[in-house]
Amino acid sequence: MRGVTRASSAALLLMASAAQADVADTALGRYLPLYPGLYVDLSYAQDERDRVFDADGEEQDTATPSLPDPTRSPLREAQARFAWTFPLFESQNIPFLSSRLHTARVTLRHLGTETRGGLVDFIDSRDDLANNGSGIGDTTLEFGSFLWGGRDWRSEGSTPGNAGLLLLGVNVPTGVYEHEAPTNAGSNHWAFHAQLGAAWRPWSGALLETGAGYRVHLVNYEPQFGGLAPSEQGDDAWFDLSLGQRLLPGLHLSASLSDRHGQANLYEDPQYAPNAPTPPATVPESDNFPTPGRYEDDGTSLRTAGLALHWFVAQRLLVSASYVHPLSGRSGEFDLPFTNRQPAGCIEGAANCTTSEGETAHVDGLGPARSYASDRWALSLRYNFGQGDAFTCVGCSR
Amino acid sequence: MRRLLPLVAALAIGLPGTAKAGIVFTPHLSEYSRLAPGQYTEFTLITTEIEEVYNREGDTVHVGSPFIPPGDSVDATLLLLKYLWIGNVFRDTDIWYLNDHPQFCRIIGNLGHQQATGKAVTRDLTAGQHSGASGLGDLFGLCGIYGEEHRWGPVKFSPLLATTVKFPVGRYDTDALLNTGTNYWSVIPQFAFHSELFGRVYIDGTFAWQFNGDNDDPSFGGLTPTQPADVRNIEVNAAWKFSEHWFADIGWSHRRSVGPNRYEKYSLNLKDQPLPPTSACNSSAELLGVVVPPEICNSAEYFYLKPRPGPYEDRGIEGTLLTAGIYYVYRTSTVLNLRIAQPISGRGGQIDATYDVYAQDPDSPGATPIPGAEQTSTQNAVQEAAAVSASPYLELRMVYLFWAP
Repeated sequence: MRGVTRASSAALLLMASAAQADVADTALGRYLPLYPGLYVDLSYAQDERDRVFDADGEEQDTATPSLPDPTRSPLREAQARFAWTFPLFESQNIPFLSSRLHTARVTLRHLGTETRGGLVDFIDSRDDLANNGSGIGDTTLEFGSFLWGGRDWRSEGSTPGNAGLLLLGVNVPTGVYEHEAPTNAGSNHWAFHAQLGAAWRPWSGALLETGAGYRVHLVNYEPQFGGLAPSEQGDDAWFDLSLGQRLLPGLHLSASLSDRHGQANLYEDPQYAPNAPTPPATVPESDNFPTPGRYEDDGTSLRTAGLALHWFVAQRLLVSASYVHPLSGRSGEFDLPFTNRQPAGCIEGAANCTTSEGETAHVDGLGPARSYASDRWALSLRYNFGQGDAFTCVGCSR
Repeated sequence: MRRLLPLVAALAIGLPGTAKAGIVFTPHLSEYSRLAPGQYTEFTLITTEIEEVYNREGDTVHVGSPFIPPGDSVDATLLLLKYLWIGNVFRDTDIWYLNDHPQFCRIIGNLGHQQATGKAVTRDLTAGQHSGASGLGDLFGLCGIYGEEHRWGPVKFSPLLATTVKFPVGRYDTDALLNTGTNYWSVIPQFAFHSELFGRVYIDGTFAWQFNGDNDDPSFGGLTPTQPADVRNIEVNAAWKFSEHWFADIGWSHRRSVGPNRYEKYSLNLKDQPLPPTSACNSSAELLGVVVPPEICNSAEYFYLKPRPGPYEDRGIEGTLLTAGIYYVYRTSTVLNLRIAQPISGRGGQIDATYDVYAQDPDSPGATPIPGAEQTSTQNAVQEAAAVSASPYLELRMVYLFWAP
């Protein structure tokens, strides 16, 4: 019974966040070892995504500042996270592995997203474009070891606090990805991350946590919307800080900060742009197309602040509500030169096809190049399934 | 220990149902042993970088050969989520045989990501096709019944019968080189057995026949079969127990189509037409393998190419692979498994498609092909029913017992 109580206590200190990869996870208790068992988090989040920080860091009332009419791409995200905490190879006496707790996490998602406003006009003007790619999202797999704070989990007096966690993870791009859509549930590229964090109890009922991470993105061989999303997303580095405080028995409040910086994104051979320059009127029967090449923005960033309330409805059941407000940021934009062509639609290299240098458009990078300035709300529910063993005694050897 | 073996056995009953062109159809440790009644879950990650495939001669060739140079690949990842129930709903009845033989049912869902790289993407875009796919895969459901368990001294043997149904609910784009769904039904009856020797050696084997339905909407310009052939599967696996925690196994798996795949809606073509004279010869040769005669190429202002829809047939497919893996059993609630699979022989689908050359829009009234200008191009069939990988894959699995038996 005491084990169950401790498990529940530890479970209180974790809350599933409905965070996308572009928003740092600031869930309370994220760096604490839970009592061994399976914890399932179900969460729902929504974000209107109707504002962004542009490349100069200015907040804009649209998701695509390069277009005259405002655009937004509202997001509804449901998430299920399965998190196990467990000892590993206990009887093998393997250095490092056998003497501490570990964690494995699988996160599944479903994202509903759409495009509204100015960009829709451009989508509707062509028959080969799609509004969105909603559906199953990417899957995140993580494995971590508690560097300290997870050694004496069997002892009666141990407290699941004052711990450090090294977490390694991978984003598996299983999400729906419509190549012709400006917004998608999936990312269509692999990403690997490493995260190091620590938790500390400064006073009774409080939990202070801080951590940092780095994410490496692999190539996206078919970036969305004609290549206006990066073919190579810049690597990310982030930092997070949170403080939680118990207000009443079973009721906790937490505040958090996060800061993420992404290196320059690369764009390869964009096929079109919604704000393409008009072909020269002086040349009859001509059109234009983006000049093939590799282009680069100046990178992205996002700084957020958040508040969350956590309530233990039952011993194994935790309900949480969170609010995240972006403080500052920067989106990816780049200059895209065009090539004029006459006659319109001719194939380059053909005898009667002539080309010349055209005007340049300043375009918005899509997908992960957007840093949204809109608020995010999330509700989550956590249930502690326990160990699930056939044995009655968790921790007993046989 | 009695608890451990059933859990190990819960790893993969009914894998024929997850036959994803040889990527998933492999044997495992104690796969067909008689399990304790209960509910089991399994999570599996399979990943591969397919750089080589088998052609219709059984030779190993690089992906996209001969249309793209070596160096590119098809990267594929599959996440399987499985739920298994074992019990006996007839236990309290008088129904002969069923009341004393437990039954099992399983649901297998999967998420996938497949993406071609480099020049394969460029080529496919020229034909108006995408080269990647991700999202939900087909759903597999199976039910079966365990047979009698027999003991002869140190030997233990038990059979089972099962049938898997593949529901084609996965994402399917007709304009894509790759898909996570197949767009056709499959029904797979299966006989399997499990045997133990001296409590140290575990042998599992099965024979399954995969009946495939038709696919009326083939993808990638009709290079997936409209009538996928049925497939026979044979597999066997032998494992050695080092301790209650550690196991290792090796396996052999073979599948072979019953007759050829049939293609009745071939349509792969250059997206932008007509072709100007200066690029007609080069483009058609590079992208479709069609060599338009130079005298025709240089004699007209524009050209159109149009493929004949068929029907075409390949020579059938087959694939054989070896597997090797290690298992770690943590108490009675978790099993971790790492495995590698290496194809050792195979045969993939290819067809000889015919293209006609037109001097006017082929769909315009009265349009007729230029006499004697038709060309034949050998195309590689694609996706689950027709392509056979010659590259190894890696598999990582975790079985978890949500609720104790």
